Amino acid sequence: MTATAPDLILSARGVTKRFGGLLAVSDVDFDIPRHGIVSLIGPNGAGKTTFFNMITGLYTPSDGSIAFDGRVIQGRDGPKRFVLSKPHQVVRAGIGRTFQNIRLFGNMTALENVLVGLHHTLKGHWWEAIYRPRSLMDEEARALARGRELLALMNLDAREHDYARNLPYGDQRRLEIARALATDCRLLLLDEPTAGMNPNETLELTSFVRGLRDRLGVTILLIEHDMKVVMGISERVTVLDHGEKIAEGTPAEVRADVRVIEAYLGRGAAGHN
Amino acid sequence: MSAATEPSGGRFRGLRVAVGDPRRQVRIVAALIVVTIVYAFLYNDLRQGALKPLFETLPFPSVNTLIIMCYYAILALGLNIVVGFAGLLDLGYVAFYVFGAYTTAFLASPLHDIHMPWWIVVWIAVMVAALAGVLLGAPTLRLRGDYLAIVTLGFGEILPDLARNLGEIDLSFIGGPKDFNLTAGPIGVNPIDPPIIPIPDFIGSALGGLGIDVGDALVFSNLNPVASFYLILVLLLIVFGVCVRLRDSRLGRAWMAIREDETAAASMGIDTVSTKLLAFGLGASFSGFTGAFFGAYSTAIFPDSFSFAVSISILIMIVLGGMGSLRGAVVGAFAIRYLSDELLPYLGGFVDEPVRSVGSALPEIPILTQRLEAFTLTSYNFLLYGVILILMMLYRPEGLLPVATRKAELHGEGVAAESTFGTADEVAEAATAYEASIHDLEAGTPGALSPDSDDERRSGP
Repeated sequence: MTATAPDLILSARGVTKRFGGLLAVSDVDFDIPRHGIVSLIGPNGAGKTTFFNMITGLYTPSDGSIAFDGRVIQGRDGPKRFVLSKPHQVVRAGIGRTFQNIRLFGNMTALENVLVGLHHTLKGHWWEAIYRPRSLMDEEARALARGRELLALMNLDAREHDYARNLPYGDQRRLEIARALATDCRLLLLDEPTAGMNPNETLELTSFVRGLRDRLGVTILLIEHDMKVVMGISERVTVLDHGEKIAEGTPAEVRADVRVIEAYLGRGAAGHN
Repeated sequence: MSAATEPSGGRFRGLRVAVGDPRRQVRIVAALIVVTIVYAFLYNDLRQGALKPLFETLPFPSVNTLIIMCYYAILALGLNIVVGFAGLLDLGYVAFYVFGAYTTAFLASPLHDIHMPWWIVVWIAVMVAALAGVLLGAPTLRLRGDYLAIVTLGFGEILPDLARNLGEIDLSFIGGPKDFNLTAGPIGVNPIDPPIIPIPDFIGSALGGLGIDVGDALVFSNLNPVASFYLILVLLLIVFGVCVRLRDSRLGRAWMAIREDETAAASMGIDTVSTKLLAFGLGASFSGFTGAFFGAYSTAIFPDSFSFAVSISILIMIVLGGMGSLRGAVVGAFAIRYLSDELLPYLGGFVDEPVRSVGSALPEIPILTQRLEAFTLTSYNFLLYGVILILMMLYRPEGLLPVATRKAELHGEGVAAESTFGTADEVAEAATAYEASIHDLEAGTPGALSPDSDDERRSGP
C-alpha cells in the first residue's frame, strides 16, 4: 500500500492513532497532489491536528503509513519495517509547519526566528563558531540575507529587530509562516492559520497562501474548522469527523455532501447553503 | 494596523542587537582589566608600603580572592550555557568540577605517581568532564524541567561521595589489591603539581642581570598568586570570548530556540537531543577546565570542596547576574565571591565582637546565648545568599546585567502587543465586506484578492 503515484507529494494510507481507548484518527487515506492546495477540515476534536502531528513526527501512528515524495516517513513500510521519523528529520525531508496556537520563539527577534528556521540548511560546525573561518562567516551572511528576504516576503522587514513576543497577532502568524518557509519546505502544513484573526486579516492570509503556492511552488495543506476559509482557496477538501474520513473532493462536492452537512456543518452552516 | 515600529536604535553586531555602544563598553572593561593587572602586580608592595593604612581600613580584595572570583566566573559562564542558553536546569554542576579536579589529581600528583605537565592534563580534564556531561546527558535529557533538575542534583551528590569512598577499593576479585586507593578518600589529594612554565637559562640570566630573580621556572600555584592570577585572567577572557561566539552562532540560536519552545524548535529542524547534549557537554567542559585549574593552583583537593553548596552558589551567581547574560554571569560570580571572601570577613571585623559581647551581657537564653557568644558573620554566608535571592526575585528578577529581552519580559514592557482588531464598527464593516468577498470567491471571481495584492495588506482596517 505504499506505492505512490508520481504526482502525489504526500500519501497517507490507513493512518490510525489510538490514545489508550480513544480512537483519535481511524484508518484515514489521504493524498496531496504536488503544487496543490489541500484542506483538512472538520469540527473541533475531529482528529485534524492529531493527523498533522503524525505527519510531523510529534505523534507516532498506531497503524498505517505516510509517504512523502514516494518515501515512507512514518508508519509501515512493507511487512516488517516500521518507520518513525523525528520532527527534525521530517523537516529535513522537506515538510514545514505552523502551529494552531502560535509557537514562536518569543524572546528572539523576528530575524532570529527565521534564522532558526534556516538552521538545518546551514552546515557550519559549532567549533567553527569559535574561530570563525571565512566559510562560516560567508554562510552566516547568506543566512542573514535569506532571512531578511523571507521577512520581506511576509511584509515583516520593518520588524526584523522586534522580539517575536512583541509583534501584533497578525504579524506573529505571518512570522510563523516565514519561519516555516525558511526550512526550505516543499510541503507546508498550516494549522488553523486564521484562528483568532478578524475577517479582513483572514482574507489577506488566504490570498497570501494562494500566492505562496503560485509564486514559490510550495504545496500547501491547510487545517481549518472554519469551512468558509478553505472553500475559496482549496482545490481538494477532506473532511474528518470523530477521526474518520467522511468526505473528500472538490469544495463544491464536499459542500453538497449530505454527511458533511449533517455531521460537520450542523444546522448553523446548513442555513448558509 | 499602526505604523511599523522603527528598527531599534542598537548597533547590529554579528547576529545580535547590542544594547548600548559596545565599543565604549569594551574600552571600560579593558581599562578595568589593566587596572586589575597593575593592582595585582603591586598588591604586596601597596599593602605593606605606601597604602598600608588604606588597606587596613578598607576591604580591598587580595590577589587570592581575585583568582577565586575569576575561576568562579568561568564556572558561571559554563553553567550559563546549560541553564541560561539552553534552559536546562542543572543542579549538579559541581559533578563536572569534580571530574576536572580529580582528573588533574590522578595525572599530576604523587597519588598514583603520575606527573604529567598541567598544560596537557588540563585538556584531558576538559575532555573527561565533557564526556561525563554527555554520558549523564544522554539518558537524562529526555526529561524536562524539574525532572532534569532532580537527576542532575542526584548526580552532583553522587560524585563527591564517590571521591570520598573510593579510597579503599577491594579489587581482590580480579586479583588486585584489597585496598586500592583511587581517590585518597576523605583526606583528599595533597599535593598536586601546579602548572609550571620552565624558564630557559638565557632568559633567567638575562633577567637576573637586570636584578630580577625569576628562578628556573614560573610556577602557577597559590605560593605565586600574581602569576596564577594572570593565568586565570587570560583563561577567563578566552572562555568569555568563546561564550560570546557560541551565543552568536547557529548553535547558540538553536539553544535559545530550545529554551523558548522545545517542540517548536524540533519542528523547525533542530535536532534537540544532540543540541542539548552539546550544551551539557560544553558546559561540563568549562567546569572540568576550572576544576583542573583549581586542583593545580591550590595544590590540594578534598571531597568536601565539592558540595551541593558549590552548585547552588554558581546558580545564584547566574541568577544574580541575569540568566543567559554573559556579562551577568561574570559580574554575578565576582559579586558573590567578593562578598563571601572579602566583604563578609571585613564587616565581621566590626560586627562580630559587639554581637558576642551582647551575647555574654544578656541573661542566659538556651541556644541563643551560645550562638551569640560564638558569632562570626562569615558563617552566615548562605543566609545572605538567601536574602539576596529573595530581594532579587522581588525587585530585579531579570538580574543585575540582564539580556534585554528578559528585562522587558519581567517588567511587562511592550508585552501587550497592540490589538489588531479595530473598533466594533470597523469589525462589523469588515465582516460585511468579508461575506461579500466570500460570495465572490465562491462564484469564482477572486476580485481584489489576487495573490499579488501584497500592497493592499498594509492598508488594513
